[in-house]
This record gives sequence, C-alpha cells and structure tokens, in this order.
Amino acid sequence: MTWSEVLELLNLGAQETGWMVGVSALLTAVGGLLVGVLLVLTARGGLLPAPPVNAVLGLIVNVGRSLPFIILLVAVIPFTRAVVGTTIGTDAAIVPLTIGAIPFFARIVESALREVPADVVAAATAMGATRRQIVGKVLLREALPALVAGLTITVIALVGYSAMAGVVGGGGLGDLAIRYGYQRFETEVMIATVVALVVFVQLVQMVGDLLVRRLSHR
Amino acid sequence: MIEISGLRKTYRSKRGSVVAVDGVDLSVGEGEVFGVLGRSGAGKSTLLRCVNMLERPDAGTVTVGGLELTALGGKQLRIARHGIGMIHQHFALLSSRTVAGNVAFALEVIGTPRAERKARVAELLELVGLTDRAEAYPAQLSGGQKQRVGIARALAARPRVLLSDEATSALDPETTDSILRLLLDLNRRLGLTILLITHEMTVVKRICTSAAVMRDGRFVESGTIADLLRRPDSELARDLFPLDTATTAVLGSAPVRSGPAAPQGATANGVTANAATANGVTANAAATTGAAAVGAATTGAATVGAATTGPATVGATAAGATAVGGTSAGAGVAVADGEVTIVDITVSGPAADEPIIAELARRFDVDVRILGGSVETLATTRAGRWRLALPGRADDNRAALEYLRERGVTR
Repeated sequence: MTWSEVLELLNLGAQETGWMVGVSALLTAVGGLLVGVLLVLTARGGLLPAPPVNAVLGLIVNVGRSLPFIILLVAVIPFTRAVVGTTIGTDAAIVPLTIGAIPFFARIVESALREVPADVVAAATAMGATRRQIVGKVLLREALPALVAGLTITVIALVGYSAMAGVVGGGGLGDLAIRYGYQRFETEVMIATVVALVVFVQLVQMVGDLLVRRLSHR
Repeated sequence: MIEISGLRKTYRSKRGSVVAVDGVDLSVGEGEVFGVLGRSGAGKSTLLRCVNMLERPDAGTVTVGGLELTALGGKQLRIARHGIGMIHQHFALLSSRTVAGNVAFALEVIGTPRAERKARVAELLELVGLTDRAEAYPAQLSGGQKQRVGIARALAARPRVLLSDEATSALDPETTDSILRLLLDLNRRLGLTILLITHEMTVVKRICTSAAVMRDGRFVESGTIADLLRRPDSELARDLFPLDTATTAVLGSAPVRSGPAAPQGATANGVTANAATANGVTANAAATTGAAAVGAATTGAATVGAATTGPATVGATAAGATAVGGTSAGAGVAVADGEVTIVDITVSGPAADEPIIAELARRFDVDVRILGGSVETLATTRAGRWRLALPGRADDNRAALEYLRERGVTR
C-alpha cells in the first residue's frame, strides 16, 4: 500500500471518527448533564430530595456503566433502527456511543456538582434563590471547569469506544487499525493509525485543558 | 426583631440522635447586636441556621420582623429570606464571578432589573470599601476583602437583619478588627439588627450589646453585656477577664519561693488556690450604666446582688487562703501572718473609670495587692475586673469589704 493510499484511508477514518465522536459528545453532554443534575437534585439532602427516584436513576446509570460497550452496541440495535432508520454506518454508531457515554458523563457531572461547597449553596438558599437559580447560576456555573474537564475525559473515552464502531460499519480510525493493521498485518497502517489517534487525543486534551484554565478562577 | 421560642433541633442518624439545639429562647431587639458565644459543637451554628430556615427546627417558633418563618414555606419563605442577610465563616462566594458579579448575583436573586444592578453594585461596594476591586475574582482577594464582598452581597436586598456565622473566625486579628468595625458601623448607620455566633470573645467584646453563652444546645446565660458582667457567676465575665491564671501564678508560685515544696506541690497549691477563689467574694459592678452618668455612679446605685457568698464565706475565703498553703502553710502570699482575703471586684459602666482601688487603700489603709485583672472597652460600656488580696482575714477587712459592697463592685 502506498503512502498516499494510507493517507487517504487515514483522512477518511479521521473524518468518520471526528463525526461519530463529535456528535455523540454533544448529545452526551446534554444527556449527561441532565441525568447528573437529576442525580444531585434527588439525592437525600439535595434540593429536591426523592430517594426512590434517585435509587432508580442510579441503578439505570450503573447498568449502563457495567455493560461492555461491544455488548451495548449490539443490544441497542433495535433502538438504533428506530431512531436512525438504519443499523449500520457512522450515524448508526452514534446511538450506542451516546447511550454508552451518558451514564459515564452523568457520574462525572454528579461528582463535579457535589464539589461545589455546601456553604455556597446554603448562601444562595439563604438569599432566597430559587432552585432553578441555584442549579443554573451556582451549581452548574461553579462546577463549569470541572464539567469541561470531565467532558474532555468523556470525549477521549468516546474515541476509544468508537474503535468498536466498526462492528456496525461505523468506520473511523480504530476500525482502520483493526481491519488493516490487525487483520491484514499492515503494520505501517497500524502505526500510522495509532499515531493519528494519539494526535487526536492529545489535541482534545489540550483544548480541554486550555478551556479549563480559561474558565477556572479558583 | 428576632424572636425565638422553644427552639429545638435534633439530628438523627443510624448511630443515634444528637440534640443540637435544646430549647432556646431568644429575643433580639431592633438595632441590637446579639452575640451567641460558645465552643464548637455547642449548637450555635444550628441555632443560627434555624433562624433563616436553612435548618427546619423540630419544635419552637422563629419570628423575624413580625413574620413567623416556621410557618412559611416555598415562595413565601424565599421572599422572607430577602429580608435576612447572612455572612459566612468561609465567605461562600461564587468563585466563578468577580466581586461585582457576586454582589450582582444577590440582586439577580431578588429580581432587580438589569439596568439598576450596576449602580446598586457600585453603591454596595462603596459601602464596604471595595470599589477598586470590583473586577477581581474572589481567589485574588484577601480574607478580609472576601468577607467584605460577603457583607456587600448580604446587604444587597436591604435586609433589616444580618446573621453572621463565625464571620471573622477565618481571619487574622487585624482583619477581624476591621470587619467588626464595619459591622458596627453598618449597625449604627443602617440600624441593622445583627445576630452573630462566634467562639471568639473579641467579637462579643467589640460589637455586642447583648450576648448569650451556649453550651450543649442551651443558653447557659443570656442578657445585655452590662447585666451579664454584673452577675457573680457570670461565665461571660469569667471568660472576658480570666483571673484564675493570675491568682494561680501568684499563690501557686509562693511555695516554690519558700523553698522545700516541689514544683508539683506548687501546682497542687495552685489548684487549691482556685478552689479558694471559687469561694471568694465576687464583686459586682456599680451598675450605673448609661444616662445615669458618672455622678450617680459615685453615689453607688449598687446592685449588691444576691450574694452567693456572704460575709461568712469571706471569712472562709481567708481561711481558705491559709488552707491553700496547706502543706507549706501560708501559701506564700507575702503577708506577715500568711493570711489574705481575696476579693474579686467587677465594675462596668462609668464606675470602671473611678479610682476604686486607690480609694480603698487610702480610706482603710490597707496594702491592697492586685493579683490580676484588666479593663476592657466594650461596645457599649467599659468594664474592669480585678482580683485583690487584702492582708489579714475577712474579719480584719470587714470595713473595707463593706465599702466595696456599698460601691456595688462586690457582693
């Protein structure tokens, strides 16, 4: 295989990975925030205590966290078909990626929100702030640097998950490494892919760190 | 302004329950600065948090500005909270917002229109002297500056009551001083009623008009500072003017000086000396506080309180002092016959500035020795407390003691 062919493959793989990871990260951010906030709100002693709701939500999150991604990928196929209309391809891979990452990010959100000092929340309560104000202006805003750092971790985890997207024809860099590098013994492609992945992860981490530095005023 | 009655709060956990506040009654008048003094774990923090319903009391009522908060919930409670400012030990500022942003947050909470916020923020920062740090983030501020932001934020909704939760406990003495001055200034200028909890006597000393000492969830004593100082068994007076160590030093060191007694003996003596002290005549304030003024003070106006210790005890004290020496008789108080009468005198109000001890020495020709004591300038009054040693038994000093009692500085 010539270098230009390899580059072409890499280019395509990178685009597919970028698309899958990008879209699912976006959806995960929204879903994870929602679930994470709910977990914190409904916890005992939270702003909207509802221990049963909290327990059920926690259980669902834990189930999601414990399923190996490759199993999840297959298990959600009917759901994927219902949502995307197809079960193969890059778009189809986005569904299991998102479902797999939401519980992961939700726990990160939960712990980030818990890190907001209790007396800051108490101060807002004492001022007469509404729950909405406390969640939006205190919890989420104060935890923002931690949330961005957590999202960075999640995106990088998604890059890892996305390597398995090849199973449903999702393509991407990881799939490239498996099909060419592993199954066809094209060591050069394997190395090139790995390098590309390292660069990708590195970039994500750098952007994440930069944002955290910008946002943090501690 | 703040009325609390029968307040009770118990924390339950799997290991059992802890009674944090055990039946507290409290009344803070408008414009008063009320301090609740106590060690950590005394329940004072819970008490304070029950005032604005950060903690729901199990029993009792809390009324602030005529509104019974214990009966409110939801939106009504939120609105009521606008009228109660609160400042915190660790400032509780939003780290993601600037100084101006933190104050603006309080305005957003009460729904101040955006257009008015800026001017009001500037006004509040001016009030606490932080105009030049408006764009700084809390992390860039010193502790004192952070607390000023906390105060500005607490005042944003123009509350008439301010709750202070150990507001100066994380600050160094100089900064504590400047924050207390600010609070006192706000109290006087805005007529702000302040309820504060603290474990620092300094805070009570500097700004409180009234105080309570809290222990194990209860008020051990409570009243105006002047009243509390006048009580013979006042813990506040004892904490404010710690005399025990002074006496221990003098009486306790004597046997060492006299030779054979071992240092251990000295300590033992010290302890016994304290016991004697406990019996000692507790002197009392002339009590002519306020308008009655200096002239009245001279005439006495004494509240010779219900003496826990009568003249008989005085005698006992003298004997006690002798007994103090115990093994090494006479306890080294440098008096020929080794016997002294120990008298504690406490003065507050104008009497604090009178030459009582000099007069005592002159009139009765006694060689008064001061074992310990001090004079303090309090927020509302000046007060002093001394432990005196008069040579001879109480019987020998009857006239002098009578004089002190008449002056109302002793019981």
